[in-house]
Amino acid sequence: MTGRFTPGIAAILGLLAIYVFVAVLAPWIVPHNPLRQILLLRLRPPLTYSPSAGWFLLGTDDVGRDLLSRVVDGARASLMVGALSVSVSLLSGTVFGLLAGWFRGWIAIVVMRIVDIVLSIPAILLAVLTVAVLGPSFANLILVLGLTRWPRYTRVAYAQTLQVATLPYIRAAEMAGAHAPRILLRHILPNIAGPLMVVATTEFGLMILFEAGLSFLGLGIQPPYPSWGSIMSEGQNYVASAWWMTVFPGICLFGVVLCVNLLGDWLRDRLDPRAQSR
Amino acid sequence: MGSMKSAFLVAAITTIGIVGLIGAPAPALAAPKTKLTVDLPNDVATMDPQLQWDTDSYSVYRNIFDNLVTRSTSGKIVGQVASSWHYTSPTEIVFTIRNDIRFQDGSKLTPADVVYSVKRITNPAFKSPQLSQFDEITSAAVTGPNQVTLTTKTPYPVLLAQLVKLSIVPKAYIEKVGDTQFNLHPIGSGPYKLSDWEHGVQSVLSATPGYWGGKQPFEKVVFRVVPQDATRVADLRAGVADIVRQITPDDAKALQSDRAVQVLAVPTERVGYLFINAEWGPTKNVRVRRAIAMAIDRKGLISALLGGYAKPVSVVLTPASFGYPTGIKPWPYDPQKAAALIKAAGAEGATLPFLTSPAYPQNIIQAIQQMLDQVGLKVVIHQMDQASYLRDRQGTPQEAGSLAFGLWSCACQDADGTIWPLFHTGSIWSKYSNPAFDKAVDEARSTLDVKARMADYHTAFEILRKDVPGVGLYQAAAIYGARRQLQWTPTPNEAFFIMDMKWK
Repeated sequence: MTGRFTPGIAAILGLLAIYVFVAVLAPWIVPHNPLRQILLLRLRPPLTYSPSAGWFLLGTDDVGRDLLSRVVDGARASLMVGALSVSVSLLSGTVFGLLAGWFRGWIAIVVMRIVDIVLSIPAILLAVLTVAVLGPSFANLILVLGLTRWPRYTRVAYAQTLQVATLPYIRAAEMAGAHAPRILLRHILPNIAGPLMVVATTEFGLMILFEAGLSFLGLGIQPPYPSWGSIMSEGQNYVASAWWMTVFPGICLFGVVLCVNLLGDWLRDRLDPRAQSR
Repeated sequence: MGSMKSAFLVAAITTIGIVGLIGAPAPALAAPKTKLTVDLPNDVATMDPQLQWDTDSYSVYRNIFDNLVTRSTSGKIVGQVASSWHYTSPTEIVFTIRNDIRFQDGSKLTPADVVYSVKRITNPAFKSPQLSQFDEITSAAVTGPNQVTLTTKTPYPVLLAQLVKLSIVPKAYIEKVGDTQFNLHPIGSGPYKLSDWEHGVQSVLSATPGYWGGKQPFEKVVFRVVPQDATRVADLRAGVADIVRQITPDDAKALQSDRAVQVLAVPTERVGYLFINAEWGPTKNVRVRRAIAMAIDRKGLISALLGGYAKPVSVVLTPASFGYPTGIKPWPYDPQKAAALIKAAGAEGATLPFLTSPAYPQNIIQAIQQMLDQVGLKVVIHQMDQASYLRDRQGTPQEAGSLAFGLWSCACQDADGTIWPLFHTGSIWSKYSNPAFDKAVDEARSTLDVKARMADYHTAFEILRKDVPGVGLYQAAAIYGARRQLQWTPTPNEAFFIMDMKWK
């Protein structure tokens, strides 16, 4: 993929827009209440019609809730987890990286060693531990995902800052009397934003998968509220008899992760000056 | 050249085809299978029979060890290592030990091994999770050739039922190699010995030659660890496994159409119940607890979610256990009355934390949540990992949340092993205290008089009905799937004795 704006990238952006649109409007467009159980209508296949309750286009789950409504409502939780946790880790990781890269010396040593330590702990273990200590809640989930992922941004921000800080225009700004915060925010940050954004897009997909993993362990979004991960984990025992419970949220997850990764690919080419000059 | 090559290829394929055709009927003509493959949902936690008693661990290790006494397939307590016993006083019981039993290392099983087994499990420093089941025993001594005498603190009616779970371990071997080595390389006197244990993958048992209890039905038994319900069922259908433990009622229904397999189900002594915290939060009010009892549709739960395999119970105990009362009716299912009661108690919209872990059936928990939401409460599920869940559930009343779902079994088939730990003042599981209840269950555990015990339990269950520190929901069924040729009758105490199985 080149950096040009092709029909392909338009399609990806369009698809992502639909995802966001559906997620935001979820409460108004779901055909059923995603939490309402009808025990007599459990595990019905897609395209079931019940005279009393209406259509269940994607079937029902193991306590008789409409799967389509749950998948639509689950988009909210899953996308929100992706967006918020990426924001938290992007923000904190960048700040640490900028500071370490600018001041160097012992600050850089301390920050980068902490980065090494956090990166050496298996992320899922750290997440399970944190949730076990703090208890499961949406805010804690975001906190956990943010806490485990910020070092990836710090590494990139640190390396980029080291490189940019030696460029003549930064020296010039310094000599002109600009203070460190101003230089960092106005002159360095815009120049290192490209690679960070690329990291963020790949992380976005990972975060959604990560939440799915935590839901799978029973530590993500709390039942009965749906996320794609929790719907799949509830469906895991029914793979043979009720495939729809895992297949449909799986397709949604696959679609959004693919789109965001392709978008990241495109962004990388677009923000790379060498690729553009070619 | 090309045509020669292809001619050769055709010849080769034809030959393979013919050989294949001839070969195909061979397995059917072969000698009966001497290997049994079992799928369990979890790995064995320990092979040391005195350290762990979760169902998967004892499904395996109880085939390596013999117990002092055991239950026959009909549920009666019969001798195993002990051939007979009699009471010399209400607190003293004398066992006669068989003298023809040998451990798998060739050494003889002696009364000293029996005494050692009792002392080891009752030693508080050993920290056996089974300690509470045996701590009524104050002394064990060899009192004659082939004779062991056990003394209890007070007359203890549940002793024999508890001794069903006492595996006899070899004193000399453990003292020589230590507890850790014993756990990795256990030696028992049972029909099978451990030949290989790949942690998290499988454990392989092979038949002990010359076992005193008779010839083993299989030479080799492989217990595989298959955590996914769906995978165990797939293994069974594909013929990879001969018998699988713990299949869901939904899968059981689906398996009924498969001619090669059979579903073996038995109502167990395991009771599905809802814990209600009587010492903290909105449920401190007894009217709220009664309303909860009236808001739950037991029959609906069972028919919709448990495929009719479970049976409703009226108290927190199953009819498979001693002490199950007759004539105590559960609170009737009446959501309107429940809603009115909650309103009257001023608890409308009160938030009730429902603690749980992925180890419990999610659909039942969420169905209960909806039933309680419909009568005006706000139930919030707190799902944690199993270790954190147990820590909080066994913690202070503040930590334990308002509700929890449990599947309780003491493997002793007696009310003493269920309502005493669940509701007695001071027990880690209990968030409830009533001196009258404590008195009744304390008395029931210190007399051998069956009629008096029955009366005590009746009193205890009447108090529980009034106070509702928990709601009995159903008698759980143990559901196994097996090849149609396998002959076995599962038991209410979920014992998994290979000796009781055979090919038809």
